[in-house]
Amino acid sequence: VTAGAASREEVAPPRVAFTWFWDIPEFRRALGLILVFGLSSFLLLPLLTLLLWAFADEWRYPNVIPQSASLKWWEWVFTNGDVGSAVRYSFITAPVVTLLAAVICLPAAYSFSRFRFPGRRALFISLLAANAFPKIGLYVAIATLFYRLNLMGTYWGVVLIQLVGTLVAMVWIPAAGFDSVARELEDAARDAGAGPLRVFWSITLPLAMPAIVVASFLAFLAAFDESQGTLIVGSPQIVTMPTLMYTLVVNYPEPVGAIFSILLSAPSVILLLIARRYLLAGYLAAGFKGR
Amino acid sequence: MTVLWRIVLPMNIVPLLIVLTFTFIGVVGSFTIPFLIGPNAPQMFGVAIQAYFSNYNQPQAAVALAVMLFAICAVAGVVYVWATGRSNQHAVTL
Repeated sequence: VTAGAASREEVAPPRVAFTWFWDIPEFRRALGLILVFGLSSFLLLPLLTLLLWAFADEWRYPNVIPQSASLKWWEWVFTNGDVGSAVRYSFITAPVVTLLAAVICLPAAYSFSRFRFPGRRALFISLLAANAFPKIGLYVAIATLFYRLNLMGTYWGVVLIQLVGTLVAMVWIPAAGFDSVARELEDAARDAGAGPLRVFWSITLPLAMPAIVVASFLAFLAAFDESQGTLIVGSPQIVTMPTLMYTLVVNYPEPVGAIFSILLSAPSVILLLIARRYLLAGYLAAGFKGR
Repeated sequence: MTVLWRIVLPMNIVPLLIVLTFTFIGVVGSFTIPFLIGPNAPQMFGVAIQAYFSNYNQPQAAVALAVMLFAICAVAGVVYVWATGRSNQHAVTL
């Protein structure tokens, strides 16, 4: 340590006056701690407030914690008819959107990874257009088309508008997954007498599976959390959980919004916990060829 | 400081551009947060578009606003697409 410090002093350029504290380890450590605390309180305090609100009955200005707690709003949320129908709509749209995205995007991802066709790069990049424009403008432009097609306020209109947000993840991640499958393995299977379909089902698909699973989770969450497009296309006939959130936050007491947002975040947390395994496996698969 | 300006920044310019443009597009086109906690006047672009479309029942006006929003974001959008394509050209062989 002393040798290192000595050599650093020898080569260190003259310090500017206001960075003197950087040379004192205690100050440096304290600065790091302050930054960590500041960042974590910035991230966690709103969540803590949310949790407190969910169980609060009365919480007025000067009080740091709620004056009284109650579970009555939980009962209200769980017995409310609008909430029930929103939960039902959410769970009949999001899985269908994920399935449709897989049916449309996985063959596309496979082609992007395996075939060299004209316009391939341009097409692959153009998928990003969905991210390169503000979503709200995109949804309104699509919604005017839906008026003509009589898709406004219908189930399939909502499914189609939620599909927009899933495309990028569902093509890019599986394409990288297919790309990371070593061609040597496929060639070996073909040498052993497997047909092209057999090679795909027994070698390529299982090896790319972690990427596909992760992409499906992301697509499901994107569809499940989609609120703006569903609000524009679906309401008032089709109200999913995120769309109902707008009504609950604006029109009902704070605990209702807090409870509902906890319910809304539950699927994300559960899927993330399940996906941890696959995420790791996905990184391993992507690193297979040392890219 | 020289290291930062001559080496670190130039080498990270592509991811930096992705983050900058993506954030810009996200904030300019944001809807949920200004809708819930923003003022009624002046409104942000996203809230105004939704209001014209749903509340005032003027979809054409909403689409015109959306085109203006696209025009504002086009520059950032082009940079975003270019930078993302460039930084991912090794993830998928292009």
